[in-house]
Amino acid sequence: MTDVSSVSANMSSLPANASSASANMSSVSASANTSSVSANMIEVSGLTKAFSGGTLAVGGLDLTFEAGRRHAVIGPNGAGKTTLLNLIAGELRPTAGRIRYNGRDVTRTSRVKRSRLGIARTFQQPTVWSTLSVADNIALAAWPHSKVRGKWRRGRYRSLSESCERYLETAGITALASRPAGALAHGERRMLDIGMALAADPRVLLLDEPAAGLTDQGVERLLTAMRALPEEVTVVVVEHDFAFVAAIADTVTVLQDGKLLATGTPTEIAADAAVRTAYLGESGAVPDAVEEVV
Amino acid sequence: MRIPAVLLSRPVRIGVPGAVLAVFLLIAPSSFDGYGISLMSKALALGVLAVSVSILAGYSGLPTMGQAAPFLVGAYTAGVMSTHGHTVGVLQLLCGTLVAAAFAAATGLVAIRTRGVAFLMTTLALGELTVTAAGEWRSLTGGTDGMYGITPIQPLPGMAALSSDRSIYWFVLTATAIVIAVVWWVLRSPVGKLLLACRDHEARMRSAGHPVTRYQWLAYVAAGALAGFGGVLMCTVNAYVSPDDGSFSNSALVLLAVVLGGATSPLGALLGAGLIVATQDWLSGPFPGHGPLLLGLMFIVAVYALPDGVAGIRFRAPKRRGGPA
Repeated sequence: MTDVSSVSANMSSLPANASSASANMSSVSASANTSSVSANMIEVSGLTKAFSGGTLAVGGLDLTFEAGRRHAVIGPNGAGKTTLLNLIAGELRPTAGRIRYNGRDVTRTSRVKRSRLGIARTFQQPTVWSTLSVADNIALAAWPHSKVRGKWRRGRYRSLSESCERYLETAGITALASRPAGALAHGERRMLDIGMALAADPRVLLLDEPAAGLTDQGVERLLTAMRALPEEVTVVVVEHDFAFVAAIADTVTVLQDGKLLATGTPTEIAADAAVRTAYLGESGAVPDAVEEVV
Repeated sequence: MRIPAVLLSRPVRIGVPGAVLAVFLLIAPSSFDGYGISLMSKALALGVLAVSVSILAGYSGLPTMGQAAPFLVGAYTAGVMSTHGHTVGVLQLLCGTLVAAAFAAATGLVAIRTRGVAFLMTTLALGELTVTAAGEWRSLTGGTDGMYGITPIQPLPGMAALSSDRSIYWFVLTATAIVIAVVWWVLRSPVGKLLLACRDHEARMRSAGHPVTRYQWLAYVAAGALAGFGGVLMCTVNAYVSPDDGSFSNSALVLLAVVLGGATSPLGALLGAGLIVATQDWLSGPFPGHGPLLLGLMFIVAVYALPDGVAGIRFRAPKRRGGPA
């Protein structure tokens, strides 16, 4: 988990010449930058998730993620970012509120069905099928989304596996194809996790801290992979590394204590006073590094 | 000394022990008396049950304590058929397998909704309920006295009935070899990969869009069918069925066989069952009354020294100093 100081350090890497940022960014609509974009791919309304013991992870969120755009969700630890992703992916059932996917209410739809509808995700801790090879991991991730029939037959499965080689290439793990996934280093697992999500041929790709634990080279590869995604794929990234967010996101949504704090372009968000206070604490004391940039 | 790479390859690691086991199973009957041959037949029947446990515990991540229940159902199916004059072995195997599969399909609807310890307890409860039902349903099963008067089978229609321990052994060995070959073929196919992935990370499978519950239910039904097949073989060997065949101790013993042999190896499970029967029935001769103690010691040794079972033993080249880890 990243603490506040490290987040502020990450924010310092922004090209934050956002002198025109509004005082209250929460009123900034993402649609200001997306007027030419079509329908909302994900819409959540009044979305609430309370865990046993009374912890309110997400409290009455109203959000939209427009189709074909790259969205980032940021916020301090405990802001509800991963919970939001889990709710959209169907890993968790909301306590209240609705989730619409491409105009369809999926609030009560199982995660298996949501995946088959086109919502793919990666996990904060990269999760792979350890005893299987890297190539098998990719092939099994593609399995439910492939039109090939009779995949349980060896020949058909081989065809499926061969058709998935491009995902290995995109994730930069072709050389590891025959290695057991459990023997991979953290960064390699991360890239495999991403490759598996891509193999699902998603319409919505949910990435939970994809850059965490990656080397600079790994982050570069991840950025290349994300830029190579088809334009129609809607991407929602939860990430602490603001430089990474600024490099890929069209819009940034900031959460705090499970509630929406602000939405805007990366530049607008970087200069937003409320966001800076949320990250830096009530005092709003700005470290030198950040001050220099802003 | 360096071990040639070819000796470490998978075909050699599986093929050589498999060939040694096959040769032993083929030549051993000539060295044993009727009792020894009967024990080998019993070990093979229990081995089939152990393989069914390995499908659940090793491949699907569902450690079961109730697999003796479909085994008992299969055995009673053969017994009832026999007492009604249907003595064709292949037909008994087919019917026993199907009835056990139907039993597993019904009980699986309950069991498969649980995981971990809850699954263990649910399967244990289902097993005990089955044993109780078998003991109470006297008109069909003969109650706790068991079912007597089971006539020897004919392997195929028109063939002579199997009257000796040796002929029964060859029938059991042939049936076991065929069913283990089928299981091995299926588990080596993409179906085995699906089950292993469910075991490795079920949540990831669901997130990827796989209907995990359906896969595991099918695995449960297939394992139940296989256990029923083993039950028919046991009925053929013993010519007697009683509720004890489905007891908790049988379920626990085959789980031990899987731990001993290796959870993801059908051959290992067979070997584990052989070790159990040998320990219980042969070694308890020189050490009378100490069978359970010997089994307990074997379990402790297996858990500490052979975490992957006998099938997990690898011959590794010694690491060189300064070489890569």
